[in-house]
Amino acid sequence: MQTIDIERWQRFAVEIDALKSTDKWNAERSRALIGEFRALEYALEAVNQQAPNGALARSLASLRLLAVDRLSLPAAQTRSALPRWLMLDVPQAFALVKGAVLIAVALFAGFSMIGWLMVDFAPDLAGLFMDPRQMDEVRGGKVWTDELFGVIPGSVLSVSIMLNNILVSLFAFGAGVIYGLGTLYILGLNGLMLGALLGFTYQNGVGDRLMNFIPAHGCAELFIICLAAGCGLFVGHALVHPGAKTRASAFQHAIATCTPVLLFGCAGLIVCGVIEGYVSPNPAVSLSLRWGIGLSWLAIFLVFLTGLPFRKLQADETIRKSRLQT
Amino acid sequence: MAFAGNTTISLQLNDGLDLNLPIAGPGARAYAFLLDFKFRTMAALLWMGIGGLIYAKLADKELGQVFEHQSEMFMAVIWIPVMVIYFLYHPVLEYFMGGRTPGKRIAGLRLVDQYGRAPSFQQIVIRNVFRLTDSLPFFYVFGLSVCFASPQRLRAGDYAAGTYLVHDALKLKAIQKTLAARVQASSEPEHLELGHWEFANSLVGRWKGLLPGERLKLAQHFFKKVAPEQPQVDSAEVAYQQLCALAGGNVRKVKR
Repeated sequence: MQTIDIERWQRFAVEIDALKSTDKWNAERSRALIGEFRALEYALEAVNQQAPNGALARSLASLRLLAVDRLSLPAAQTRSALPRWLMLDVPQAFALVKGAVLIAVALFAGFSMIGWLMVDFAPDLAGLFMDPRQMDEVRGGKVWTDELFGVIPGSVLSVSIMLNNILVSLFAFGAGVIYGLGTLYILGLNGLMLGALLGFTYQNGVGDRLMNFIPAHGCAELFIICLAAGCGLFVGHALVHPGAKTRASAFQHAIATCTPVLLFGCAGLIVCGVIEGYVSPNPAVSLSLRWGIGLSWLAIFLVFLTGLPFRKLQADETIRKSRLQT
Repeated sequence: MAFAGNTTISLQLNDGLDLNLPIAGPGARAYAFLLDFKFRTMAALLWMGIGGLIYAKLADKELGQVFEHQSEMFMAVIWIPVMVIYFLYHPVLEYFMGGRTPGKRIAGLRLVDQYGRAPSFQQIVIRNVFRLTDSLPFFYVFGLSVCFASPQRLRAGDYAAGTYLVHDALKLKAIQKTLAARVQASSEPEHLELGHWEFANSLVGRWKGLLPGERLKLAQHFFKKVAPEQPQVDSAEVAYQQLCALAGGNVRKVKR
């Protein structure tokens, strides 16, 4: 029967505990600890043969798990991580999902047109997306956006709109888990709603006032919702056509690919929320300025999303990666 | 990655070694979630109270009027902190507590990645984004259904993020206590072999839970097996003290 040197593992436990303060790390010590970690594997095996599932076996298994945690901590790169993520990860991810995003934009535009035509042929169908009081107001020449300025504080409006948009985007993305069908439903619903609202307000002669409200925040906001939906379609496609991978790993891979784009989109929605809270309801801002703000913000967002200013950095990174591979 | 039954998951470490971890089932998951739900709701309500007091003082309002009109200060002092507490409870705590939350800690669970480490920030964000779909149509029906159907007992968010909810390891202090007890027990001239030591340890730990009549009987059987030449112990008190000595002190303080 193999004897187990428990005192050795007591010392190892102390060393593992000391790893909490990373300033005491050095290569020699790390190598020694990794050697001990492998030896712990054999000790655990021996203990399990003599007394499986006992207190000692549980303790050594737990010690091993703690050691895995402490010994495999990735190097902290907090300062370089964010610029790297912005300049390399986001554009690379967008390059992979842009096809799905274009499909989402086309679908959204298509559903919006259907919504408009629907209301054009049968105005009462607007009741599917608006409550009767709101419809009566529109018929009476009032638009609900008129009353936003001065009634609700800009910050209140910003935060509530921001939260709502972020939730819609995340939901459009997450609903891709149902083989993309959930995403299609959200795209369809939101597209039909936008088209129906615009159609109904134009029919009643107040469409210009609604269109006056939308451009400052809407250009980027609608694109970002389509961006999230595109990510959801990308995930759905990975589930339908996993290729050589298993469905689970194709799903995981697709999610990991989309995540930088999705997080960048959520950051963009925060700016959209601020614009919607402070600029869009303000009657003092002219229509041309609204379009200027909306299109500029969309252009800035797209420039960073596609990584245009960082092309050289991306090329260097590609060369570095290929060198590492060879 | 392979599965051994439905109770453990075998993860392959970077250097080829296998790490077997006990999977947390839907019951343990639900228990941890309910605890966390309670904690975050309590924290949000607590802040609503504290924030309400601060806001009433700053805005010079009566306490009863605090929630009547929304203002920018109301947003900053009450609404935004409450939202932050409620929505960021899981991701923030899971990141800073190495895959745990207070609820998971009480339930003895933790999240790990495919190498048995604490999950990365990105994995935690994805896992929590998928709460939106997992919670559909109500009360996490979708997430629980996926969890029941999956051999690894994972919800969609775990599949998406590549994380596993497993039973947590013992704390370092508990590990050191067990190792110290075994060392102390082994230093005795007539120490027990490992299997017998584990039994003594377990008997001492469960002493209080045993029926008074059974305690002495079990101890007598044990002593007869490990030291047949010794005279039989007649008192439960003495038997307990001898067992403690053999176990090396690795016992919970048992009130007898």
